[in-house]
Amino acid sequence: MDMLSSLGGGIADLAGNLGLGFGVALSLKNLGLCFLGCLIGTLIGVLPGVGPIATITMLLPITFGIDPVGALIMLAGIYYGAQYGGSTTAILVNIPGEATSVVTTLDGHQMAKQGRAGVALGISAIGSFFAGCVSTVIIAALATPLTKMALLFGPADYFSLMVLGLMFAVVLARGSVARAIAVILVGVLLSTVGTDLESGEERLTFGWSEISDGLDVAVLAMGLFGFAEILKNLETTQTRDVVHAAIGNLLPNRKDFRQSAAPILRGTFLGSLLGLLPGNGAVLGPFASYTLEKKLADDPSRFGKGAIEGVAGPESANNAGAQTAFIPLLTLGIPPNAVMALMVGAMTIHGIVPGPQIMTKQPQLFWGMIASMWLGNLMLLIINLPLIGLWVRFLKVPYRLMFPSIVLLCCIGIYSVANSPIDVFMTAAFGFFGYALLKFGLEPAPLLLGFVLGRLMEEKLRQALVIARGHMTTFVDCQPWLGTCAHPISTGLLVLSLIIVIVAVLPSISKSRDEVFQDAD
Amino acid sequence: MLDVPGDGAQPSEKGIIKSQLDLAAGLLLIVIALVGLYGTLGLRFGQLTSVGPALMPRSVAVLTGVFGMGLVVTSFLSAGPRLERWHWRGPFFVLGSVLLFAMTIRGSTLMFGSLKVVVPQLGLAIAGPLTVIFASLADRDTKPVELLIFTVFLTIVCVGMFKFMLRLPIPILPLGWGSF
Repeated sequence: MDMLSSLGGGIADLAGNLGLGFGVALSLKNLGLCFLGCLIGTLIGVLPGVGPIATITMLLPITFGIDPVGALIMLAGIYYGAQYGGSTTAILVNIPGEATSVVTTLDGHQMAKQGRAGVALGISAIGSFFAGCVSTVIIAALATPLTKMALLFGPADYFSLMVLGLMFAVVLARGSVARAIAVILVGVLLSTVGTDLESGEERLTFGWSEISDGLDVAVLAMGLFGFAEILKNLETTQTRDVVHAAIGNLLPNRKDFRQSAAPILRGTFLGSLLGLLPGNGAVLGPFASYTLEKKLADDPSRFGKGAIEGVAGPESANNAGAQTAFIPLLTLGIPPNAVMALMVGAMTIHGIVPGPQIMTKQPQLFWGMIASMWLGNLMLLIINLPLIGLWVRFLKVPYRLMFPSIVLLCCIGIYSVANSPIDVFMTAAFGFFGYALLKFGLEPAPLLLGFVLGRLMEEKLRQALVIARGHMTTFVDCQPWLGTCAHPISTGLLVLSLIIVIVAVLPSISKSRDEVFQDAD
Repeated sequence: MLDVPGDGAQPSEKGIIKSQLDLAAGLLLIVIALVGLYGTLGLRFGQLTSVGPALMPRSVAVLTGVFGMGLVVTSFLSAGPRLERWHWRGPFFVLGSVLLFAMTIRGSTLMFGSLKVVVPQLGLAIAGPLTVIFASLADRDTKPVELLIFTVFLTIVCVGMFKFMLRLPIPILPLGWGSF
């Protein structure tokens, strides 16, 4: 009885909170910003070679004049809008518009070649919409309990949680585990550049006053992802195999629906779950879903030849993952991937500290953003399908014109963040650094995560040690054989991190890990 | 034909260096670690009871160096991919155009030893197209007429959007040419 009434209370709270959220998100201005974000997101999703990281950095200055709620609604729209757009390119051109739509190229493009491009686009939009709705509800439902849990976390627990997040990032990165750890360490090292907050001493600045406030996440992200990406693209000649056949009917027929319903459900579930993982679990969703569908199928040989399940499942998974990735950021203040790391930067610019206090202190921001995600998904469903002709036309803009425009927009964006030409200069330097990293087989995405978490980690480490008077037992202190466990949360998280890394380097697992990424190539 | 990154899977087994890629990555990490150590010289490391400013960066730098050395060692032991070719055209023109923008948007003073070079402010209306044209030289397929028309269009859009719509405080014209 007690449980029932508390459950009832919880649902009433949820309804009340969502009501508040929709009240905020449905204002004319926020609706407009959400629409704009989704539109821009779809555009960059469609265009291969322009990722959400570069775009969000480019557009940060645009949001200066907007209030924080509107700004974050728009930036979030860019991120999940890109997931919708990415599939359009994957299906029509056989190039993933975004990293998460790699799997869609396998069956989606085959469907397009068979004259069923419209159905593939239709089912991916419908699957994405369904996944978006479900994950919005998941975010809303998990937010309150997770935030309460976050308030129980002490500095030591936070530190250990971030270690866990970084270990996930290591496991989920391509290539060797050692390389991924090394890249994260470089990110953490970069995060210590600037004045030490406690002693006021300058670290790693080499007497250069411009960086005494530390490096800016936007500058680093733009260099590593915006410019290095362009340099990489210039060296790979992409053949754009645009489908010339008519796109055909957009609405899937009854048989298509029957075949796709279960994959969409499973994909949504897998994607939501993986998106929650710190360390960019969202990218894994589509792969996991594709593998699962292929295993479950009566006739696995259809996959790769235009099986609709191979589009419906992964497309739902990638959208679900993109949205649940907001949960660690909004409840714990820990960004799970590079895009979320940039959202931290955006929040900081607007004077918001990400973490559990957002929900209690700025409920209109928190719930407004969540409600806007559902509205955004609805808009994407409506704007995407009729506008496909327009997106295809954008695909015909040659890269030789596109990249100089991206360069200019990036320059203007970075300059405007702080009206500083020095920032633009540093972005170029990081662009070169990112190019070198790529050439040496080091992935830049874990670096950015290490950079963002590094600062927080040092702060929490120092706090924890001050509280514990220098005793490392504040991180690990558990003697199950004596029946005592003084710091169960932190101990558990660190043990889990250790297990993950050990499992990742085990020969059998690391082999299947290679296979997953091989599929992507 | 350009080299495609990631496809250089042919192992470079000739000689003592079995994996050029591991060696290069390892050396890069070691250099980063040394810079990290050098940059924290003279700062207090502290102990667990009172953590000093150097504790985090120095420990991380040491760890980075350890991983770097590990990669260098593996490069002699197990075969791996060859180092990809570096192309200088892309980085030169793309990053060069970014530097050009940084120098000219608001003007700047460069010091080469004792030589002082003053770059005048050009503003977005001139620095913008300059950046676009210089960057586009990175691609051999650039078509001059198409590029020129496109640049003019892009500049007008940028000035309109950033200056008049969003009212960002970005200079538009060279200093003294107008009130922007």
